[in-house]
Amino acid sequence: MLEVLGLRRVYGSLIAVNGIEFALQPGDIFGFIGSNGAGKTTTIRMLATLLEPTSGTARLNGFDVVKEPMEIKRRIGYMPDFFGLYDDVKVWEYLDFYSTLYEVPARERPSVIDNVLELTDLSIKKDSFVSTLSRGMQQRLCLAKCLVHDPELLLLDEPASGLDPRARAELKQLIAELGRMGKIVIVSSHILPELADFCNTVGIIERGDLMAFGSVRDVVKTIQAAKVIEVHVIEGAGEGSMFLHGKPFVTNTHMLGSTTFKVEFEGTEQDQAEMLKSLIDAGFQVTEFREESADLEDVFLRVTTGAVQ
Amino acid sequence: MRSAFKHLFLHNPMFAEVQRAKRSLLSEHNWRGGQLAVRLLIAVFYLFLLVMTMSFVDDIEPFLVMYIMLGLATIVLPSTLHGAIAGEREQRALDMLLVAPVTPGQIVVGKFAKALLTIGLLVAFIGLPAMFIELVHQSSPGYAQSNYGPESNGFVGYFTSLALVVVTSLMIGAITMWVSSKTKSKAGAMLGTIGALFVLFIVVPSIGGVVNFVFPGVSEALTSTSPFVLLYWAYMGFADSYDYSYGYGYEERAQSAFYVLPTMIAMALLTVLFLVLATRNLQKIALGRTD
Repeated sequence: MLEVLGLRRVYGSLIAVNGIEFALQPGDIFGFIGSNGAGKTTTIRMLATLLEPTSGTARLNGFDVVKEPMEIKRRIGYMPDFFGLYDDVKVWEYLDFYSTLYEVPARERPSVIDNVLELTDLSIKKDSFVSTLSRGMQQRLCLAKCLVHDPELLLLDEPASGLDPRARAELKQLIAELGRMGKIVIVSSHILPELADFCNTVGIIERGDLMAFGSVRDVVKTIQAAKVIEVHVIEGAGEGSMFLHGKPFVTNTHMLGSTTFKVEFEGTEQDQAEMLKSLIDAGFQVTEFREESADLEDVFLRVTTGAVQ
Repeated sequence: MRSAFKHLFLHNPMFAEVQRAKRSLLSEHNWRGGQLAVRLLIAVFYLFLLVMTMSFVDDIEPFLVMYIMLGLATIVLPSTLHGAIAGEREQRALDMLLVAPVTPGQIVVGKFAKALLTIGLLVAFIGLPAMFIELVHQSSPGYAQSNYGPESNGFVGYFTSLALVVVTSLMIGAITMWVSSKTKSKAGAMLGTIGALFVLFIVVPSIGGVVNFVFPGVSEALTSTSPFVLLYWAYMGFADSYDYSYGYGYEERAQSAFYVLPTMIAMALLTVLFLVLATRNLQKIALGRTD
């Protein structure tokens, strides 16, 4: 379990991270969302022991990031947003070097290297030079490096940046697989649709403050006070809109065209079904009746102001 | 103390750096283009040195070979180590080392191990031929009387000068590590190291020489900071200098141990000091206390 307890980092008069708190369980894939300069990388670097918090701390399975950095290092895998690999060695040699640093026993190293290469789909490149790998493959090699010691927490800072769509899709599958393996994965990104696909928990940070935290569904719910239902009829959208205006739980209606209108609604799913029934009973020929759900992008835009530090 | 020794030297996973350096050196990736040209040039130079040694073994003074070794160490060690930390920063690979379960001290010692490897290679490829020359000379009756200057000090001189070259090389390596930990680019680290060595080996002894000229005998200690001056003294077994009061001529001033040993001790201490400073700089980087 990862507990982040009032983590704060100040640079002079600038508060980069302002005492954020959250907790994650094994198997959680946490999407850390924020504009550039919001504090994502600073938080991740503090969790990776690369930056001393001004105050607060974090605990991974009881080990304190500030007081026991060496224990934390043994339990985390960190992939920076920008990184370089030793390009004059072969892929397996690169992993062998890091396996040695992480004190993987010598006799287990070959099988560990084979396993992480298989997991990251790089087995075929085992004997290739690192310099010959594409950007996507280098990204996966870096991830493979993070996995040689079987870490409990993975910190991935903008892992998909610079990748083509196929490489992104493969990376998403890989991260989802790591979550299924019971690891805590923290992924920072500002490409929101990407995170919504595979994260089960998200946090939105702006100017160092954690503005929202929770499951994707809960976070979306918190910003969506009223449901928005889009109704398509064969004809008479204006009449339909007028018909529903003022009905129980309907807060507003908008015409979108001659056959479409929107309803802002605060009732339950049962009330929603009653409303549809009343429309049909009133003779409107309804062809489509669907709830517009907000997505992470809506949440992000609603919660944040776009201010950076 | 014992645990620090164990932590840094007996149980240091960063010694994998030596294996990585070896792989990089032997990798076919580095056997093409400019790298290949440099290596061929080194091989040709070395073969030339060997042929010259074998052909003119009676005429070559072993200390001249030691000078070549010292000169090479001054070039090769900064070239090998300047990127140790600065290169990792420039390449953005340092973070991945710093999140591994190794301390900054272990990283510095692990990287510095490459200096030991380089010095080992220098001793094997140049120190041993010099020893061969010394052996031939020692077996030739009457050799010890040189036709100019003072007499050779035999194997004692050979090993003293070899020790001096090794200690100087270690200090050069440590200075390079320190500069590398202070800079963010390999080019900056190389320039900084060259600057530091220029000051230490040329500017300081030159100032010493000038002061010595004005106030004879006052600043020999400063002159003796130059390993290039000391090497000759170490090989010959005693220090000599011009006697300005009575015109030019060699005058035996003191046993070389008087100058060479304290300087070697000072260099060894400086080696440790620069490595400690490099570790402290890396600690600051590791905690995000620098840019």
